[in-house]
Amino acid sequence: MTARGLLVATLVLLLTLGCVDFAFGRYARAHFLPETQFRTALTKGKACVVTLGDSRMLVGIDGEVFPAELARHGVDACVAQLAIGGGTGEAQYAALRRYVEDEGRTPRLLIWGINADAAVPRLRPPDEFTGNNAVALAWSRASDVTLHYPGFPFANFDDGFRFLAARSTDLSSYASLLWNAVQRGQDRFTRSAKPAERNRFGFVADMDALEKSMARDLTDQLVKGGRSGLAVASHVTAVAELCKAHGIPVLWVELPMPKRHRKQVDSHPNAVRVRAELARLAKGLGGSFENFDDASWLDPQLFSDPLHLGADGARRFSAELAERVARRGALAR
Amino acid sequence: LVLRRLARALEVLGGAEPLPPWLATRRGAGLVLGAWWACLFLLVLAFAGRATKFVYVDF
Repeated sequence: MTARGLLVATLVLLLTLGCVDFAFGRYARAHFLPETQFRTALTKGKACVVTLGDSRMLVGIDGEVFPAELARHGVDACVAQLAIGGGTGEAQYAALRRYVEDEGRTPRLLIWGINADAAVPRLRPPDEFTGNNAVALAWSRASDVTLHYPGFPFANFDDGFRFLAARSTDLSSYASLLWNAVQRGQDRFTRSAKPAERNRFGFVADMDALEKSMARDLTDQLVKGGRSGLAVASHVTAVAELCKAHGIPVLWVELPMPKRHRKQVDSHPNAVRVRAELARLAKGLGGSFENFDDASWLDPQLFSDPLHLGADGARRFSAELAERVARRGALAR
Repeated sequence: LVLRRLARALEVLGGAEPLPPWLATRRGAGLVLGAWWACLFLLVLAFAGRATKFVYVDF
């Protein structure tokens, strides 16, 4: 092979990858569920009540009951759902920032559903920005590297560098979507997928395991976080600063959880500590912190799995949330 | 003979053996090689990851 031949081969490689990256990015953006949800949120109106959180918030807000109950309490406001199922705090922050800064929207009120287990300071390797959580790559900025990996490049260099590399192209940002498609194909081919109980969020057994890991994280990660002087995750303070900078009122909501979760996770001493810090941050922003985890109406029948409210639970929670929003006058301005 | 040729072809494709001179000097060999590298890269990317447990993508 001549030097000229090698040069041509390299150029063809780069050009092909560039074209594939472009086409894959377009396809991914058109089919990526958080992207379509985000576009739907934009159609709801200019100054909406925005709800943010993970899958617990996504199912917790009933799209019909919540606006109707707000209206019943005399609050006429559109509701835009920005919660991302499977989205970590990093993804939620990226979604809110895109909504506010890139799209120029100013929420009339931000309702952020965040339980103590999601606010624990934790260094999350870029490997975890997969699935819907690819939002943390696809909607990120290069400067986020120091937010997710404090001290970069002098500390956390490996994770920070991999984050920068992963977010640099659509192919790497959305690679996990390709992996899932490949996995589904492999499962069909080998017929290895085991029948198991699942709902719209995945296998119930996986959610069980996730719930157990939350209690472990509260112990392990808070110890590490404590060493770095962080009481809550950096994305929590980032959201707080974003809201402060844009004058967005915030209502922080601790979502209702099943009894076992309340016992094993929410009553953990470190969870109590995180909750106190969330309340302090909310107060500092002139907002409030609403704890629904101790609501008297909580009933095991209202939950569909170890983490999520069912349809009845969502209606009940949405009605209660609308009532508290109205009662606190959070939308009066 | 067929097996030997197949093995040789696979070794060339896998990069274990250099391109045969008749192919290396052929016009357009660089184009074919570049396209092949891209295919390999994309195959590796598609199969190198792990599926996530909590994925709610419509993809």
